[in-house]
Amino acid sequence: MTPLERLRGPKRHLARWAPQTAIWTGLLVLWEIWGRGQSPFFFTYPTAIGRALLRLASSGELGQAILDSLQVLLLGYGLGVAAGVPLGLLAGRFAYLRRLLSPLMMAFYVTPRLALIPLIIIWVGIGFWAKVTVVWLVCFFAIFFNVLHGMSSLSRSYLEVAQAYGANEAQILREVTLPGILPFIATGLRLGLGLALIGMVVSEFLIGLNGLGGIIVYYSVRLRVADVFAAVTVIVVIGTALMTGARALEQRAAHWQLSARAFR
Amino acid sequence: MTEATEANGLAPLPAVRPRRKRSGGPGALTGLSVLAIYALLIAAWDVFGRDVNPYFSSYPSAIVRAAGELARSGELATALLGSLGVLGQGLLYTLAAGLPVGFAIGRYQFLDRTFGPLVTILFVAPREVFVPLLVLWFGLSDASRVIFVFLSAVFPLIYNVADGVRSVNQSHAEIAQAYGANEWQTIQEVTFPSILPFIGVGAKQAIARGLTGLVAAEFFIGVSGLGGLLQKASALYRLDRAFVVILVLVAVGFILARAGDLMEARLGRWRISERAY
Repeated sequence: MTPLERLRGPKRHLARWAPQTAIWTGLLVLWEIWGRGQSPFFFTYPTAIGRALLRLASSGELGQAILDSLQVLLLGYGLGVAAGVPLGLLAGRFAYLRRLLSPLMMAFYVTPRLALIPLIIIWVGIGFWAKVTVVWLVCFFAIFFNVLHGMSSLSRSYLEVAQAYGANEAQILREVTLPGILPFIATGLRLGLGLALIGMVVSEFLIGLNGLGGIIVYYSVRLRVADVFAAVTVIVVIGTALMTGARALEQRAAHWQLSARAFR
Repeated sequence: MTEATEANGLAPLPAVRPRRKRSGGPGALTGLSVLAIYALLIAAWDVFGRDVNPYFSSYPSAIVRAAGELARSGELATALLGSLGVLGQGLLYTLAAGLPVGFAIGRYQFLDRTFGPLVTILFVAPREVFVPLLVLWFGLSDASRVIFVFLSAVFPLIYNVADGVRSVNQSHAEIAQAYGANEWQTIQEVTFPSILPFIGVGAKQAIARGLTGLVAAEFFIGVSGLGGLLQKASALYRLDRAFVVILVLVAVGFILARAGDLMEARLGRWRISERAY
């Protein structure tokens, strides 16, 4: 038995992660020491970022920006889900619709959707809805294609059993299709969320500077690097938290399918 | 589908043409009708699009004319070559850095525990937040753009390669060691072949992300390449030109996506053949 294995509970946890904690603390200290020697217009260091974060938070700037950003993100993403899942289901169900849409969808899928931002600015303007449109556009296709992919990998025999027992279209959708493609929907939702975050940041850079992306650009052109890093940190933390949640949901959905498979 | 695709990949590109049951049968008929619908839509666009304010929209024949203009003046070729150069360099550095780093993180648990969380965070968080900082540090130069493409593309590769190394079948490695293989031989004969499919998945994602990164870089970091041409065109309300650039981007995206799919399929092939065996 190694000394590590003899420890129990939180103590063991602490011992396990001690080297990592030491390394990261060391790196932060090095950054702090080295960063203080650099021009503040060009570089920064952890305590300055902390101060900037406090200043942004206490002035209410940060709270407002987070609110603005989340509004764009959630609305655009919500619309992406609301369009992507049903359209994916329809295209999966009706072969003709699938063939009709596939050239167009393919073109959008392989092209960076960000390229359409200049056109969105011309068509929708530079307001709130332009940003929502960007987020929607960026996440829609990932959701759509994953649902469609799920539909195409759905086992035919489940469908036939349901039909043999006289299930109608709505019952098949509820009892066979939706549970069957749940893991694919969950994957699409996670990938879509990641893309929606990118759409949020990019649209805030290009369309009417506000939200967290706006803070980044505002302070970077004023050479206030510490404030830029503060906003970057907030976005990274929010993004990682949301993605971790999405990943957990996805694993639950996949887990459901595995256990269902074992049951049969 | 490999585990990595399940875990973090996009759905594979759908086949352009679903398999037909019989040639000349109902499949061909739907294909023709789809073609006819698109032809009709484009024709209608060409007829009615002329009446729409040209600052707001365009129509197919104007787009074709604009394509001719841009091609003759050489603007399109310059932009395309510039973009591909930046993308190529970024992807080259991605490969050069992503493989060893991913390998080290996957192979050595200590490195994984120390830097793994950072890789995951940079993998999932929007990388675009770093663009203004890159501009600050490296200026409005190709260097900034290449670095941004690299930052966009490298984390999927690291992530997938590390994932691959972690999931190397332990018994294969043990057999190699039992036959007296040293560390380097084990890597060469066991680890490397078994992570090839993961490299394929990672490289495919890296290409897709690199292309998105390229467009973002060309929007924000100086006006250059295809993204720059697009922004210039739309700033002057030349929507016909903007559509030309978008169509070129569609073509580039399509070719790269096919290349990525091909690479994924090729590198993943021995897995499937092994399974059948």
